[in-house]
Amino acid sequence: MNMNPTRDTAPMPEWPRPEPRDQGGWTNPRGRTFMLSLMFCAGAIGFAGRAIQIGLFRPVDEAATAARADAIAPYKRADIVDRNGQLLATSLVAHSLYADPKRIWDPVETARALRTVFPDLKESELVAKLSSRSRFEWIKRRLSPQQKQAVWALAQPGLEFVEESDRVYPMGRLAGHVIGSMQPSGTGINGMERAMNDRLMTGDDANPLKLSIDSRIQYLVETELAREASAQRALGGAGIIMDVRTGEVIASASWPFMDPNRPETNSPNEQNNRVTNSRYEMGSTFKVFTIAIGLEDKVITPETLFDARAPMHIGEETIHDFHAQNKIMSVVEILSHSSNIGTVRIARSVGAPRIKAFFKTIGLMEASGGELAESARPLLPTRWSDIAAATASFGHGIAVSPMAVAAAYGAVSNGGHYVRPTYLARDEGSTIISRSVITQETSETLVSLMRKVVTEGTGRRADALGYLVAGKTGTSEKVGPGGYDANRRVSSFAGVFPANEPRYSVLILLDEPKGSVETGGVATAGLTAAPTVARIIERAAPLLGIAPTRTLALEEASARHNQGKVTQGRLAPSPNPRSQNATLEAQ
Amino acid sequence: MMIQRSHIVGFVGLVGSAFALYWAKAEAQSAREHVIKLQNEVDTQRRAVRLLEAELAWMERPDRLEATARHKLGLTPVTAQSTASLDDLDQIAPLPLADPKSGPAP
Repeated sequence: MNMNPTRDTAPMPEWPRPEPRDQGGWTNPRGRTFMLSLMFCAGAIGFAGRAIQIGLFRPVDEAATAARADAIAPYKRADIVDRNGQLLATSLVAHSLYADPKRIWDPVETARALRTVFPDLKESELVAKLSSRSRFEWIKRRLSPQQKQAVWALAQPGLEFVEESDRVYPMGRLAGHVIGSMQPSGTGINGMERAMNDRLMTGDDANPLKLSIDSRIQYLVETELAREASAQRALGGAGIIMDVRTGEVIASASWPFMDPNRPETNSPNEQNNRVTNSRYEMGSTFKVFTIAIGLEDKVITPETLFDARAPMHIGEETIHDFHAQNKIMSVVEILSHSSNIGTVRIARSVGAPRIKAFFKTIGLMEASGGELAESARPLLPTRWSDIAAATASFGHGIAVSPMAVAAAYGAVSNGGHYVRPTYLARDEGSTIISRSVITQETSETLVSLMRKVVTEGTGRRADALGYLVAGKTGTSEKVGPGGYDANRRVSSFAGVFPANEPRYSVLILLDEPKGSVETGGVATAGLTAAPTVARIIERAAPLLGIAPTRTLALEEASARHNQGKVTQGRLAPSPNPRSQNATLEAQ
Repeated sequence: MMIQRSHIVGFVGLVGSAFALYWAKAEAQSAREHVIKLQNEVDTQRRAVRLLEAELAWMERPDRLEATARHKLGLTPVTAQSTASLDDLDQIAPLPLADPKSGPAP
């Protein structure tokens, strides 16, 4: 580097003195050498400068960007869990196969090779895709690990994988209608996947969406509902358990069930959520609401008598009792024997405007599907005339979703507070918005009347062993082309339990039950929906932390002791003490 | 132009500090690469955990648990008849009286 003249005085070597015309320029060899070395130096300095810039001044991150891109997951969607944290929906990484046709050597050979892994793909379509002019063609989305390995093993050029997010529902069909399903593009089709799409997209792994559903209770309701609906060869069915204090839906089952893992395979009947999206004329379950108005307005007491001896005429309509008692009945009897005539007499004494207003406060005049988008608005009378109010008083001429009825039963039983149903778990101590519909006193009287329906009336088979069930049966006829069709029924039981302190409302509905061998071909609610409710409550109550009202085990032990047959070990089940008499019920 | 000692010292210092900076950058780079490698590993493990959680949920399906409990363990659903408070236990299933021959009671 030291190009300065040295200090010693040694004589410089003699250079040949240049001729004046030889100085510089390309024509002179020495000038060319000088110019070239100058260019090399400039180049070297350029390289050095760039090397210094890269080595010392370029940010560290830039180098790592490419590597980091691989590490970012395709996209994140929050999990869905039940109220106990049980996983209901999660996102996994799946590999999808695409082809770059420009890099395919022989489309026919590649297509044949692919068919060994995917026999369901058509060779002609594959060849067309593989010989197209584009640079990207999907071959198959979301491969299983085995399929991916097999494609890998084909060693065909031009076949590439891309990572995609795959939504998985590990519980299968359980609560399928509530959870919903997803399109391959990543948006929800139905259920909470659709309703809460934005919340799920912006959420993260650590903050899953917590539903109010208890998957254990949901399973029980689904099992019993499917059993009864299949036995009755029904078109469909709905089952609900709702917390009457918080509005949380603990179980919400719609039969036939839907498979969220394969949304494309579900028929429209399977995809329909009957709990929130179907409207039914519920029939006699509405009588509870009419009697609630009468009690609240002090127009009636449980002992008030009404004449139900003859069919009633309002305008051109005649109102009959399905199983006419042909006597003067008290309000208790009107409900337990499900008298249409008696209910209409109560309705007339409170008036049509009052019935309309009350139905509105208990949520029967609005869509009540909670957060779900599949939430049908009720079909209401266009004009609340006397005849419209009279038929609505026993659940005809007004069609609502089963969820609306379950919520309304909760409102009249929990001390008189209407709480909108929700499919999201509430935090402990969160404020619950409710509106007052009846007084505590009316509510208690009403529950005791509903309890009588189960102990003495049409709902006897809903009396779960060891638990106090209160409720009301309802059997209605569906409207066909020529008016009401006696062969197409909707049978339901709506109620609450435990009757001494209602915590849960329960509803079972069967859409067009045809009668089974067990019920002797009869498909009324008392023989179909009511026993299903009893079976569900018997199994669900221990899981819901509700103790039996009587210590049956103790009674059995003392009975055995009295017989002198006290045995150690397992307790033998006792015969079912429920009434074995098949009681047909009023419409 | 004379070269002074201070020039040499300054030049060597400059080259030295440039080299030190380069060294530090190279170290940072390799540390960053290590971090990314670890992040990738964490990501892979996280995916594996998610997969296992999904598989666990699949194994915990209520219908499967019920069938297994019934067939392998002979368990049946809890009914009102098999529910009692602890106080009633003595009456429902009294303990057998201690047999004096079998030794002192515990």
